[in-house]
Amino acid sequence: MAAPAPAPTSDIDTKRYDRQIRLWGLETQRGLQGTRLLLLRATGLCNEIAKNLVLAGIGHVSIADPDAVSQADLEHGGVFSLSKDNLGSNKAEAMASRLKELNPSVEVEGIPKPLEQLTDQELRSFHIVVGTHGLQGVDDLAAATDRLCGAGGEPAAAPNGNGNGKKRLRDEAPEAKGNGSHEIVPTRSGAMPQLLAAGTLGLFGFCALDLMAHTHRVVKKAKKEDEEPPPPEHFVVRYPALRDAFRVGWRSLDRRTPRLYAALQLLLRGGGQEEVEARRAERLEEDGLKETFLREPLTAEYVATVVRHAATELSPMCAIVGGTVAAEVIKLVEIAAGKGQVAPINNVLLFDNSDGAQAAGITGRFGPAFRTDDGGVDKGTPQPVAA
Amino acid sequence: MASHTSRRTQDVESLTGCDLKGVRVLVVGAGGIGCELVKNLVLSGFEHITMIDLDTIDYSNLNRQFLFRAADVNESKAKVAKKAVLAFPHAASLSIDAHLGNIKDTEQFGPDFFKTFNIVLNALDNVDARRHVNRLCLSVGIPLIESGTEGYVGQVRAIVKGKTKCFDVCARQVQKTFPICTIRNHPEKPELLFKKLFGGEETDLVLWEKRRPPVKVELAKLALPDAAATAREEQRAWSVEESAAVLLASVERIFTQRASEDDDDAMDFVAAAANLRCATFHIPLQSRWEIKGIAGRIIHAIATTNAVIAGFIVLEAFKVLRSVQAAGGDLSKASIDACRYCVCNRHLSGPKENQLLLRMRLEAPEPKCYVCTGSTSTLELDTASFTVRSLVVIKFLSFNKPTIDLTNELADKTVLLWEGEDEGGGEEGELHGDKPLDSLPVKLGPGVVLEVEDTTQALKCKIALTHTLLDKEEHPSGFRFIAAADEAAAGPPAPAEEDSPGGDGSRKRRKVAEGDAAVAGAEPSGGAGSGVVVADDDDDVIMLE
Repeated sequence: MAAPAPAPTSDIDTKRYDRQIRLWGLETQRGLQGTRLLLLRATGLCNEIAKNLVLAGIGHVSIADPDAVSQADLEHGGVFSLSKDNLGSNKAEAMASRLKELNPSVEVEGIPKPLEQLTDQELRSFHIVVGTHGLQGVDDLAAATDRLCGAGGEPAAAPNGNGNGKKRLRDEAPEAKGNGSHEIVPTRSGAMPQLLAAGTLGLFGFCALDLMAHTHRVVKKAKKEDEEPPPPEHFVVRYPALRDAFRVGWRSLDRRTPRLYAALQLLLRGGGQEEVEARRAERLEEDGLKETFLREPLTAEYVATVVRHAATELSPMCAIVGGTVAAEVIKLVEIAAGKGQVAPINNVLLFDNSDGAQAAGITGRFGPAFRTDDGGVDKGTPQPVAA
Repeated sequence: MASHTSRRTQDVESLTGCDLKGVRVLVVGAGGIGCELVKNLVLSGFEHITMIDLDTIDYSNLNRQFLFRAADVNESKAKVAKKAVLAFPHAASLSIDAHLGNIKDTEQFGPDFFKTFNIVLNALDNVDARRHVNRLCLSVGIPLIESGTEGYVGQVRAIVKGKTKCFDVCARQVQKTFPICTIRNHPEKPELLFKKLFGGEETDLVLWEKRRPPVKVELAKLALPDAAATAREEQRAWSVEESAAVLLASVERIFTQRASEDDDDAMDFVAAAANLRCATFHIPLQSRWEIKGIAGRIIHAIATTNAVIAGFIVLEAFKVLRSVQAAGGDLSKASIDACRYCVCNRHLSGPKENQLLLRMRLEAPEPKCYVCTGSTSTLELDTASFTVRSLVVIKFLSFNKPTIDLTNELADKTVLLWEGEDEGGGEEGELHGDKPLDSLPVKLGPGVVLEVEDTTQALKCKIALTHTLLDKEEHPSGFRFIAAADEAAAGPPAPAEEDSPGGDGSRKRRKVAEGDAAVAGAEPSGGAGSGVVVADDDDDVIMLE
């Protein structure tokens, strides 16, 4: 993946984009117009993310989905760029053709295939790939990661079957509340697009990022008004692979971790209400934990609620998660354009809009630490680097 | 799809406990938030949606108002939005009413109209209209979900009579303003030039001892390039020579063709003249595009924030509707414990830095709020120069068609000062409209208050007048409003941000924006001596007169 090719100023419709260029600048707008985005599955969340970025003037959007438009797509959920006329046609292509109307300067394309049928070369032609189909997207993107840069850096698969066929991160020391960072893995290498896995589950939602080693800059203001501001500093943040982001052992979780994180782990392996509940009880027992190991207790009732919600897409949640994910994509483009001043989410964002949840959207860093080239340990915090 | 209860309605009921069957919702505003909101409502299975917007579509809306296309420019936002969402998958029972109209037009949209709805959702961008809707909803007892966005930030909250703070209390925020002294004497930033764009020349030479004195731009010594070609260069800062050329050309056009309403001519003039002033005061020259942003005070607006906020509006609406249903339709008995003040944030620091979307408890009603409770607030101004008419038009007070009595409560004496219609009404409306406040039949003094009643907003409040000669530089609007609730706690309310002399530190970034328009609209304006008018359009631009 090469850096997005900037568009020349004369190609930018400054009148259409006036209200946003004033916010993020021409460089970011140019960067957006040179960005190629792939969205997996034509969900309501996909529809929202695509709408936001097509409006903003992204260069190219592809939507990959092998399925045909069904009656259910029209009767439920957050999809708006489909209608009765599309029944039976490919969902990605139908949605793409509607989305084009939002902004004639954006290329929008439907790919009637699942992710696994895209070649490595096709995948690498995108700067950013977003899974919009929830936990299944985590699995799909984890498989793509293995394909594009090998499974290097990830612990070998364990035969016990915990956590998607990979060994779950287990704490030897119960006091290691580092959200998985007590485990140390080698740094990863390879070229792949920036990955975001996002999903809505009724009133719940999440977004997880894998940006490999990602550099952002921090601009500080001058201490005094008449002084020159200090030169911008650059920081690299090493992201765990998506699969590792969802594999953190419960004994390692900080008590303030939103309980949705633990619930999502249980749902990752699929199954109905009873299966998931059995898995919850088994995990707690195995780890010697009570359900109050998190400040918001991981009760059977809570997990059952998440399972019940997982089957249904709600339009306002698609709007909230889709707006946040699209804003994150723009942030990545802004950083690539050399303009960004806000670091991207590192690495998981959890949405819980059920009653009584502590906040609607909380970020946290989940996953192992890395052994750096100089023999040090990087727990995923920003490390200063030369520009 | 034609079943009695749509699948969408069923989905919402099973996950949120809110029954949308028969619910009538009013959406005020079909702009940035409104487009997103009506989409969410349709896809959630709301059946009866009414939308109002007075605005027509502008090309610069198309980066976010996704229901509109280039071919719809100059059409009614509400009507085009209705047509667009009917093409979305929706329940067979959906009905949408779209009105091109001003929500403040109480002939059409008065209390009786509001009473026909179960809930009102604000998707507005100006504080004036938001206050009006707030007052009406409070008076007729309909729950309101209030929202606002600016750039990357936005917020949503429910407003329920007797249970939460009302919007008027929250709207009394101080916006970014610059003290006139800084502007007049030593402007250091282009922003500062626009308050007093072309003030008199400086005579105070002491001022320049510690600063670089202004330099003269001498027209006769400049080699002027082609003005028309320069004016097309939007992204590059014009040189002094180029600015002078564009200035002369645009002044000529403005005065010969009288085309001042033409945006481009006015903008050429402002940009060129501003740059010449910049040169005089050693301020870096700016591009025409940047100057347009500053002079027009264009509010940043993006699709992503609007989408998030519109999502939260619907989630909060579900909670309010659910509680009202649980209370058998009685709003006063409904619990709003589950409702939250929702904030979309881009960047936080401190203990909440991991919270990208915040939820906070709603604040309780202000016990002495002049809108909710009709208690007495104080207005400090020069009573010799302010007239009744100038009071009525103070945007800060957001009166619509007020009846104003001046009452001496001690002597039981009352005189009617103003009745209903806006100024030019032609009827017997104004009785004492143009008299200074200190020359009215009831003399100001202890126990003398203005009793304001605005039936179109169901507002009743009292305002005491205090004669004060305020420092024009600190209070360019010429008045200071002290709400009843503030009196006890407040010293002089003039906030530090406003008073610190011209410094950068004076403009701390607000963590939470009150919304698009708070920025433009919350400023006391329209008083004597203020040349600032808030335009009522979607982008809420302040235009210089």
